[in-house]
Amino acid sequence: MTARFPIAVAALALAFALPAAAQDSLSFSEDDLFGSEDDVVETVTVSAEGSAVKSLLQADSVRVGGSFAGRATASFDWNDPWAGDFDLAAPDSYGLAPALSALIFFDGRPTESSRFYGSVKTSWPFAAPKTVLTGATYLPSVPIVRPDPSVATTTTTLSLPNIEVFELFSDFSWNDSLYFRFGKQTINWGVGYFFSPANIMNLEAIDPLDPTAQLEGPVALRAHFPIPGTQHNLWGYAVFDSEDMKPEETALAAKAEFVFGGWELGVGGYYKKDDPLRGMLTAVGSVGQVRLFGEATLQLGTSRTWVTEVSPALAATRFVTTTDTADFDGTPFFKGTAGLSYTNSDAHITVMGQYLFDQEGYANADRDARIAEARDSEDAIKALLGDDALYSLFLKGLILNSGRHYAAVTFSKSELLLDDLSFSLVAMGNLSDFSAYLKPSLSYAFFDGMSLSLSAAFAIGFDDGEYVVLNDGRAMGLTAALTLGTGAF
Amino acid sequence: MKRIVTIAILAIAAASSAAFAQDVPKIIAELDRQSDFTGKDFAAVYTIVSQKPGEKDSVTQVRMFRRDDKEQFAMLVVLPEVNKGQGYLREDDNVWFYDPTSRKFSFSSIKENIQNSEAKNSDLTKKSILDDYDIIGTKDGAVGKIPVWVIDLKAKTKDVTYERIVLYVRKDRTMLLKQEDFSVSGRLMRTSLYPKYAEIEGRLMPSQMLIVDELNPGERSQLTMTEQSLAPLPDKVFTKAFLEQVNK
Repeated sequence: MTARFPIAVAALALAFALPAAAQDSLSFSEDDLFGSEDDVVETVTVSAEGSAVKSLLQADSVRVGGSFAGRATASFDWNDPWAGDFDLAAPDSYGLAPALSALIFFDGRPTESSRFYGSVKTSWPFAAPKTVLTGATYLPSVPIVRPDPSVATTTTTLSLPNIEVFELFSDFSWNDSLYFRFGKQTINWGVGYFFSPANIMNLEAIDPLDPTAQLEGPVALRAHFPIPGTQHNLWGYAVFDSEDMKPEETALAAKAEFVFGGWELGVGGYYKKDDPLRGMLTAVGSVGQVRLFGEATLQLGTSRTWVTEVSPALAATRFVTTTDTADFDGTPFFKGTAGLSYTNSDAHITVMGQYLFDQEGYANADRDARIAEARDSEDAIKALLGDDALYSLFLKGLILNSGRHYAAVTFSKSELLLDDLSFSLVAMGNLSDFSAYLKPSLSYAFFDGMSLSLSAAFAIGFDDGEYVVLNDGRAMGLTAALTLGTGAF
Repeated sequence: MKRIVTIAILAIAAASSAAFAQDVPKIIAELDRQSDFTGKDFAAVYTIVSQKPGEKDSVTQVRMFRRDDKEQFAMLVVLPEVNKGQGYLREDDNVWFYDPTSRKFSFSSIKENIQNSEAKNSDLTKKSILDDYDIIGTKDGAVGKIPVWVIDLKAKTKDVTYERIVLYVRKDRTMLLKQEDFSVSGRLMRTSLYPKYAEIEGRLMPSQMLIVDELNPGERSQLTMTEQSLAPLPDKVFTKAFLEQVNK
């Protein structure tokens, strides 16, 4: 929902919303504005009590709105342009990816204390084929013909619409002091920008390349109590992650936020049967024009399993042996992150940076040993898999998020030389293996509804570095993305 | 005789200037009082039209709720549609920004501009010029055809947006007609004109502001105030819960 307002709608809004004075061409001549000593004071008739607040909380009609995103991205990738045989005209792969998506929402406010909201998403292609089982017949053993019994199945392919309910919730309150939200909702616990260890209830993690995107949340009941006379807040959650569950399987969480001086501090806890018990702390504040933020989580036990051996002899267990989560039930794991952001609106500059420590990552020695085992077994595993691409996926799965130290930085400047030209640089690094991913971009908005973004992407680091492996080498990619008709309504 | 008259005129001028200099704190205190709604709640709709060379005018409309007793405000973006539902909540120097797109709250500095216009959050809130600035110079002047006092002020604290400001205050009635804002290096950053005022229960509020970005030629904004109200507001308006309730 970051695109520009369509011209026609803006013009209509301007015509209906603005007082007469604002519709005139702006005059800044002091002689015109202050040409006489006559008073320029008008006596104001004040609005009725409560009307301003009520108009925001209650509506006679249901509002329907949404957003539309259109994009066509041409990409050209070179797996190892630094090897000496780089040819700009001969990329290892290239393609064109048209993308079309939309979100539609409704927002009903029949009374000041109740609200009903829902949103659905769709994207092109609007239907996806899915093969489903339509029948199964037991085939008993027949001497000589079929020594062992088996099952004969029949299937068919259906075309399922690509529509997803993204949010569906109701807001209601008790005595204007305790606010409830029940339904499928985003639950933002952490304060991190690129990384958020405290983000444990949403169904997806932050994408560092799209950190402001709304995350899909679970079905939950939330209670919010703003402590009267302060900006302290208490939050309670009951999370229901299955339509068929026992009461004791409900996840419970609580958080308190306190404001001291220029800092907002948060403390919270999360409990779910058979899951690690988690506690978290957050802090946000400012020093001068620099905003600082940090969060820390401590959990007892883990849901993660670590690979302890890679071998082609382990084909039955996907070529690996792993730890058992039960062995770590009493083990504490710490995750912490800290970051800063700086915005200079006069210079149109924004800088953000963040560091993450994740104790659930591999120790360097273990990580190196597993990768070495995977490399030593490469030919054998490829032969067993029968597909080199599957081995590549296996290695990427092994190395993804394997480090303990990560960092991400972004720099952006709008109005670069031209009003509609902007530059951004995003860099993400695994500080455990010294690999990184860099993506500088230049974007130009031709007019409302059309913009072009030119990006380069580089993966740098050692051969077994995370971002090098994930990008199939020290890769370079060039993309040209044309944004078409994106906007909100 | 001619010499005596000249000396008398100079003496009167000097005495007048000295008297004015003594009155400057009172003038500034009156300007502060005009924008101070302590003891009352205040609500209004502000419409900001921003002009940039080569671009269509952009329109931002925000609904503002103020409670100066507790240094609180809640500001909700109504236009443009793409930003509708964004909101700011301030108490003391703490500002929370709510983004309905990500459904996240985040701290935001009070010195930030409003929605990419030349107006800043502090343009819509209570002024405390006397607390924040020292008087470093005064003189006579004119804005258009209106005689004004020109008052030069230097910041006492680093918590203000501009290091130095120059106020042009109407002589016959205490009204700020023009303000110039300077950076630490002395560069003129912004010029604001106040051609229209609204009188609300004895207080004068600018109902129209014209703001010129002196760093970027051609960039300027017009801010108009409508739907003013001094009716009591419920406490919930100044909470995170309210920002979440009213967003899209």
